[in-house]
Amino acid sequence: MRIHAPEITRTNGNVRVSARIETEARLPHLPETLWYKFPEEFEGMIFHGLEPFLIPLVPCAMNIVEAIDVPGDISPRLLFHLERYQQMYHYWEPRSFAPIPIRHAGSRGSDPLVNPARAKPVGMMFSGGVDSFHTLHRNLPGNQPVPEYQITHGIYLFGFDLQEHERASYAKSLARYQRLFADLHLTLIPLEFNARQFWRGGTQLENRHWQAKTFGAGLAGAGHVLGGGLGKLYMASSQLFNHGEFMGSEMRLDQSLSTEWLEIIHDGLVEDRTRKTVALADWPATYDALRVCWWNPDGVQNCGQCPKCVRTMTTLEALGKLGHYSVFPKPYRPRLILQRLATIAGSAYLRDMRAIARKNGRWDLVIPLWIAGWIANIRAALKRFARVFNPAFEGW
Amino acid sequence: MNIHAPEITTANGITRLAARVETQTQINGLPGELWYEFPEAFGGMAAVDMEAFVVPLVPFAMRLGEDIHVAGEFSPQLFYHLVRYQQIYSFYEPRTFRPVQIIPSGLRATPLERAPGVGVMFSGGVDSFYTLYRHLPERQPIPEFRLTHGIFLFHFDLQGYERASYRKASQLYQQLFREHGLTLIPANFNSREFQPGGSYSQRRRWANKAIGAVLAGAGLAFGRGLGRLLLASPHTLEFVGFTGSSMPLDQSLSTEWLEVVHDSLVEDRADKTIALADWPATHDTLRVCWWDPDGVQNCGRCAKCIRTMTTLEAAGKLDAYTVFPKPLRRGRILPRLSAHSGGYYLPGMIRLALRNRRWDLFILLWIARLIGRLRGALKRFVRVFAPGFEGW
Repeated sequence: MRIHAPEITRTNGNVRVSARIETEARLPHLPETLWYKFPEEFEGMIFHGLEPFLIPLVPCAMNIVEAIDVPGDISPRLLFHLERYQQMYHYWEPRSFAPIPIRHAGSRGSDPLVNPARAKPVGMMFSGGVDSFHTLHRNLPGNQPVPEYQITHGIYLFGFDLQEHERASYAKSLARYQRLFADLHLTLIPLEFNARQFWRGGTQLENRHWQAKTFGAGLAGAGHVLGGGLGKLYMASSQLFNHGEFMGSEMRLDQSLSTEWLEIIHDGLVEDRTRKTVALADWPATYDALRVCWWNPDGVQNCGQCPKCVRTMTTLEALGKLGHYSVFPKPYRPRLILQRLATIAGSAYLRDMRAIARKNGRWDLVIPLWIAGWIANIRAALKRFARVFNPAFEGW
Repeated sequence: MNIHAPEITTANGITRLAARVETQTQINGLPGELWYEFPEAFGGMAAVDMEAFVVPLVPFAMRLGEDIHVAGEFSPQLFYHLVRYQQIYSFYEPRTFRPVQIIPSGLRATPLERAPGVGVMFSGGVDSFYTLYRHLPERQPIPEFRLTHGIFLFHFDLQGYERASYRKASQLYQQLFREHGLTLIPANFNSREFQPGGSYSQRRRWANKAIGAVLAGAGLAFGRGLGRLLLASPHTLEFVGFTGSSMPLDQSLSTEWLEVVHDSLVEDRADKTIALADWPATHDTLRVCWWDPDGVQNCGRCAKCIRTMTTLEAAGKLDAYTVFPKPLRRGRILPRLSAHSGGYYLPGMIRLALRNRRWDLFILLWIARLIGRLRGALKRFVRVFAPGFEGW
């Protein structure tokens, strides 16, 4: 895999930073360029280096087993940690990810950006979901006591969870979030990219798995493209730090993607999704802005049917706070718990939700949550059993 | 807890970096100051800064539930990450470790400059030898991560009465480092004396829980000479239990001028031992013993010795080592390696014995694992009725 020198072009008030990518493997669906696009007013924040292109492509190159050729200098810190990054991927999934060499012209020891004395803005990857809202809240200038770690900028991605056919929805939510950030005296940067299209290809299910395993690299790459103007970048954790399963964004992986000039912080190590939701329920700014839906969001309006919606709504309902939220359809129906949360993936959240419901005397929720937990456990046991005979089994 | 401003003094060729420490809780035998001592030749690397004194005391202050008042400026990066560091401790053992406030006189407006040196905390054991081996100048392709220094600590695993043993080992290791163009700093410190006391096994467990903090603290004491510090990982990624040195913990102890790197995440102890067996420098220097080492000579009887010897024997490499008494007595494998706590290391050894068709070792190791599991199950069962039970 060869990454060519990046180019910058300007059209219609937007700036596009792109690099041509060549692979030896013939993968017809693979894009020819990796690009990032954002409004021209943020051009001063562009990092003129190869790191934003190298990072998101590492999992893809490991998957197709091609060395990466980079026509320039790379951060020594990043180079060192990318070896460990690859080791972790390979350790967890040796068949899908093979360690590959990264061939580069040199390391940028004397880069002027390597100046720790220069206080620089602090960014965060913002999606409007529970995790990123929680990270935003904790690190607002009023809540984060260390000035060097107070958030100044958010980056809101198109091409991450929302795809081309959802552009109208993205535009609506962007307008809402830009207002929110302005009210908080922060800046939200809309950024489009195509990093997630770099994968071998396959079924929709395989794509979903691939994205779950690699999304940290995509997010970090998007942060690095603005690394000329950022000193730190928060990435909200989506699981506890000691979560046993392999996911593309976790502390050990994300923090390996830091350079000498941009520190990546995997935030929210010890709070699970339910606790984060509880913390957010006291922040009125989320009442008309929380966007958790992955099925069919309309701007910041959630569908109220998908597992993520049902999970969040159930937690808020157990707290007696759902009534405050205008972004969820009402009334809330407890039978959705059995329909949507009795899955293996959802089971991790059920215990905490049940504890909250019990604490608040919501027995109408405790019982379906308890039954959903049992169904999920039985499914998990059956899946383990089925995998003895068919290791590739993915059903239920 | 109050940590006063550190002072540096030099006498008889030894530089001493010390800060007075006061606690509100009265504990018998607690030192009045935390100190580091090292040869005067390395005085230029000494950092007379608060960070080297705060870091090793954080787990202890959490245990006491005392806020830390720091009489000096502090790194913003470390200040921020110590909140996360404490969250992890408290997440695992909420009753033992309560989050405390760290209250410095201010945060540094301008961080110190990063020094070019790269250090490793070196004990002569498998983990630290492996980290040394991987990052020797001739093996590490990235110049900024090539080792320049090692730090060999007295009062880390070796106690006051083992001074002669430390001296012997230190001389040998200094020579080894010189041969590779590196410098080994023999240093003495008392961080490990800051502990809540209790029985021998409680103190040993405490030492494991605070291990990363005391090592990183000692590295930070050389912050004018080191820009990176490698701490050898004792576990692989799979280990989800609580130990005082892990990647999330150790890396939280970095400052703007010293990056703490938790090294080698995916290699288990057996992998590392086998890799080292091909490095002749380890054949007469590997020191794994925690019972009764004599310089670099290992006792050959304790669990760590037996584990390493069995691994080397399974790989057919034990004969190359002069630091272990021979032959390996099979009769010691079951008594030493069937402890529940040692079970973590056995799968790698079993795989190795299987690969090399050492059926004699394979069977013994497999039985040891089985016994260890049974002990673990019994322990869990007994704990239901006697929560403080620590036996087996």
